[in-house]
Amino acid sequence: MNYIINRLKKETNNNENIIIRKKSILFKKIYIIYNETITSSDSISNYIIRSLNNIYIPTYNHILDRISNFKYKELTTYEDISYYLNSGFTIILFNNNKYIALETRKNLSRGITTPTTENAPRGALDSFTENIENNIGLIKRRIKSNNLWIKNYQLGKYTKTSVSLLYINSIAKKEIIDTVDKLLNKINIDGIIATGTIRNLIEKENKNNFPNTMSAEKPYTAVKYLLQGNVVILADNDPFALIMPTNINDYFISEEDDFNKSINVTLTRIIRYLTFFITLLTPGVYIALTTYNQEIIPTELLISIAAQRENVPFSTFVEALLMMISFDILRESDLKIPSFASSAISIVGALILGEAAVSAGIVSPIMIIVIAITSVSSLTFVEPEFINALRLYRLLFMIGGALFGMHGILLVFIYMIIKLSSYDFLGVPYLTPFSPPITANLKDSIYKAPTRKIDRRNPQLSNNIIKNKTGGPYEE
Amino acid sequence: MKKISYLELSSIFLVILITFNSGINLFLIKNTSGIDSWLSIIIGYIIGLIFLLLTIYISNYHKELNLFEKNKHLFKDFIGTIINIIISIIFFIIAITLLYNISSFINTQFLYHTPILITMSLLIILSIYCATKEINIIAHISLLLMAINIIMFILCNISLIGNIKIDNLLPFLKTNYLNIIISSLKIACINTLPILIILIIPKEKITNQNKYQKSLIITYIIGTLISLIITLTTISILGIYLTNMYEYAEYMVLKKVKLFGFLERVENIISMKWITETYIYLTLIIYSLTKNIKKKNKNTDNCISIIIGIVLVITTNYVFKNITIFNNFIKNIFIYIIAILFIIYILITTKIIFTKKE
Amino acid sequence: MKSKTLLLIVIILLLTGCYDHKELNKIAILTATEINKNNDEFIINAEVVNPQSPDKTTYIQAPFIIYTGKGKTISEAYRQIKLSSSRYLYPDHLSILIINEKIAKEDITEIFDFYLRNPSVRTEFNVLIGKNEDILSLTTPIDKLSSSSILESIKTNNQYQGITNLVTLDDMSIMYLNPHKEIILPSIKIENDNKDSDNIKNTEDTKIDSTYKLSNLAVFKGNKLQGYLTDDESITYNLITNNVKNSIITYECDKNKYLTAEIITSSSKIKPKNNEINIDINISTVINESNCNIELNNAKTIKQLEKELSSYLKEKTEKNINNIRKKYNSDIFGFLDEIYKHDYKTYQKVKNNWYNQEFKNIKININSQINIIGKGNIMEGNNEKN
Repeated sequence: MNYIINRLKKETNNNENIIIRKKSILFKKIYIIYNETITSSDSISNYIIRSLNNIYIPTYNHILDRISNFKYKELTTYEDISYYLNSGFTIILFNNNKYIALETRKNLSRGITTPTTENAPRGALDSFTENIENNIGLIKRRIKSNNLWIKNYQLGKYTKTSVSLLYINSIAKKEIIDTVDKLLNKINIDGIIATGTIRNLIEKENKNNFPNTMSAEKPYTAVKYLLQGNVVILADNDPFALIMPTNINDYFISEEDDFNKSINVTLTRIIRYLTFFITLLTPGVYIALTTYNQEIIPTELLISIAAQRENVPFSTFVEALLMMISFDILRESDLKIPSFASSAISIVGALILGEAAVSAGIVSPIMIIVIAITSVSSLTFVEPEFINALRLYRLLFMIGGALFGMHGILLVFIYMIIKLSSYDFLGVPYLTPFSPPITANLKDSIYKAPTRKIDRRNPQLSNNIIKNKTGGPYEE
Repeated sequence: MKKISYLELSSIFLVILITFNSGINLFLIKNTSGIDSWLSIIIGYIIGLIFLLLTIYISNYHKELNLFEKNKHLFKDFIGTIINIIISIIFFIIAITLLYNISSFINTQFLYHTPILITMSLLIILSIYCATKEINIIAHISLLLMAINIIMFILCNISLIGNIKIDNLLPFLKTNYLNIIISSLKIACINTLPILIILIIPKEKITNQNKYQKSLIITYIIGTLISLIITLTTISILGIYLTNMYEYAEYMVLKKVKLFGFLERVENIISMKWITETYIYLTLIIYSLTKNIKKKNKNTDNCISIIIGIVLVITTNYVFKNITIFNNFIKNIFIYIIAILFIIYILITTKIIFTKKE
Repeated sequence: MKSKTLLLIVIILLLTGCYDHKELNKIAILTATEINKNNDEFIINAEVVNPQSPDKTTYIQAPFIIYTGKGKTISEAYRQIKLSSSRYLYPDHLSILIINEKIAKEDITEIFDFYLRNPSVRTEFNVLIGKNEDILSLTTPIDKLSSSSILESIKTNNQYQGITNLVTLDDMSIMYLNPHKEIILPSIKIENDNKDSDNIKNTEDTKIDSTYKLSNLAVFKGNKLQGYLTDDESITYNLITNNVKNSIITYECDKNKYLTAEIITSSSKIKPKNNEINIDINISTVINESNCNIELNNAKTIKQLEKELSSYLKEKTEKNINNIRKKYNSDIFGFLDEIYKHDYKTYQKVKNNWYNQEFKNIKININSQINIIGKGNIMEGNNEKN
């Protein structure tokens, strides 16, 4: 007992936050140890001290029996003691090398709030918080089945972050779970403070710069993918769940689609896919058209573009690059800046990058339009990683267009397709519903079939394919 | 082992069937069969049905082996290797032809001042990059690109309907019958004999094996239709005299396309179809040649592909100094080289029949 | 490793790229060309757009510039322009080619080769015969560029009058290459050419002195210009070859009183049969103006009028065709082509002495049918006071 207290004091350098209180029950000494920064002194004094005051037989079993704390752990080793002490438990030390840890955690996380990164006009408004138990609870609230299985891990040498792997046992494929399990067990790192670290550790990070795991802030999204057979990873202290494996089509699906009729959703999806290509191709194609394939532009438009470019000293490529970079700077600063200053940024952006640059003759007005449509289109996607990935390929398209015109664009396009389709994560090829074609998923891609008819899961994700047996048209 | 869906297989098959429509088919036959070229296309593809059936027959022998392994299995090591080398050489020549055809097309039509070496190397680099991956990835890519191509093909043909003058196809059947037959033999040679290379994908790799036959046959019909439509629209829109005059008549037709009523002069974008088709074909050839040469060691695999690619570019540059040499080569030599594949077909089938009897 | 070597190769290639790169403010957009010939030398007037920045500058620049070049071949002449202008001459947007009468009278085929061979020139531009020189330098008020002004006026004229015709280089080469057809081209000239015509001042008055006049169709035989059709003959030609979209027929319904019918749709078909050529013309018209005493409410009179109009059209067409046959002896209608396509047996018979004998003498039957489908807003056709 003394050994433990001494070691603890030594290891923590006599940290004053660790309170060691001696108490004697019928001449037998017990120690109560807790860390005051993460424990709630209320519950210690209310439950532990008060219960102990009423206990007169100082045996381990008796105390365990009489203590009014609901959650406790029986410990035997020093490592356990130090872990539980650091996670907000109160430790009671007995003389006979038996120790109890009682949960007295202080509530350090905020309550459940509305999501800040995923906006949807309809749908539930709760979002994950920093507390992993709350998060699992939010998911469990939606899946009231014993088949929601959870595997727990403690990752990080110092942080000892609790990480949970969630899946629905009867839906998810065993191979995927096993692989993820193996990959998670292999992680050996100083600390995990974000789910992003986990993701980067278990995939080949730069093989494909498009994201293949989705980070979801809403329990809604997590549950939706769990039901499809995907796997969800939650980490303590991170309000974002990781959904894996995903394919490219998943980034075009938004929550509101579930609330609308399929024909309207189809039209929206077409717009989304269109914006994908617009944001990828517009600057590149513009460069290709104005510096190589001028014959495609109608004569009148060509003359007016030529007139606008008359006084611009840079080549079109440099011009586009300048504007792209300045837009990215704007976006970057807009993300970082507190909201009270953001109007200043928008004024600077609109005035200086728009008006002034044109009248100073640095860029042509048409270039402003090109960059505006490109950047507005890129903002239709929720996942920031996806937008960033698009930026890389946009740059490649610009280079291709600047070197070989439309031919260069085509070559970069082929390169992009090779790159995307040669990547597969956890057995799901990235371009999944399109190539290889999977009918079950094609029904929910550019074209969305009526919900009644989306009756199958993706066989790459699940062996239990049928998901909807409603069937047939509605009859009275 | 990653499997390939039957749709992806058909897309690769379609590439083999229609790639030569980009500048070579019509060039070969327009002078001999003239206005009735479309008839020779039909007859040619009907003759080609024989090879399709033979291919399906061969594919059923030892489903787990690819073409080259099959040959070695059938003919024992020595003769099998010789046959494999002959097949490889023929496909190498096809690759050279395709490469020069497409890069000279690109150079004469949109990149006038760019050296042909650069155009070639860019395509070949992408091909090598793709060929070093697995066949299922080539299949993914070909499905995607062909889907885009077919959509583009349908769109531009719809917009061309207004320009078609059926009168230009008259008088009907006034050319010499012998000429039509000769042209159709040429068509059959060029477009349908090389489908042998589809056997590089063993039948066992297909997810839905019972659809193998059906999908190949349907694709064959689609390929025939596409070739027919290309020939018909070219001759009926340009007229036989202009068709005969232009180097790339099929491309000149695309200049008349007006997509959605306002997108004019988009022939450079539409003709991307030619490039993507040739690209997939080249990739397939490089992949199969690599498969033939390859040892078990995976690392040397990539090296082989790269070497094949470089040799391809160098030979193409060395053999074809200008387009006239190339045109003469196609007219006088190329067809006979491809015709050797016919003998190989017969050899393989007879050998299979005999081994089955034993 | 593999990817790194590939990357290296790609980078090397990229560094050597940019061969065909041409910035928009480094090119001169060629929109029209006029070709003339003088002592075995081609003289080329090239209209190049002078792009004006959209902000309102006070001084007016000419919207286009005419460069002139000379050379033994057309490309040599273009090269000379490149030397004199500060920019690369970009020919892809060429929309008008005016060939001077002089060349047309000698040999029009000389200009073919350059335009068909050169891949950077599109073959969809319109070809015209220029009756004067320096046609392109005229400035016009509504359309800033003379090329678009000419193009639009041909289109409008073709659509509403049916006298001229749009002929692209492709069409012209088809007409030339086809052994059974002859070339026909629209022509243009400047009327009242005065001092200011090539100045921006020409656009400042409300009543413009010098303008374009789209002249009639030029008839070729072989590679030589034979002459020009009259207005009437031009309409007949366009009617027969299905080129009329919207034109008018003016018919003398009473003495010195006229009636005008507007052609809404027209279709015609040439049907060769047993050494004869039948031409069916079907026209739907709307009465535009009627100054005669005709009761247009009466079904009988309408029928009568239709009959009269049909026979009038038939007569006119017959007369015009015979005139053309006699004057030029040039098969611009493509009768032989039709015979070749639809009646191969007759073709074998006639092809050898088509121009010597057959073309002049072949019997042409015209079968015209005019339907009146409307008569406008007025109920009665006559004035009741008289």
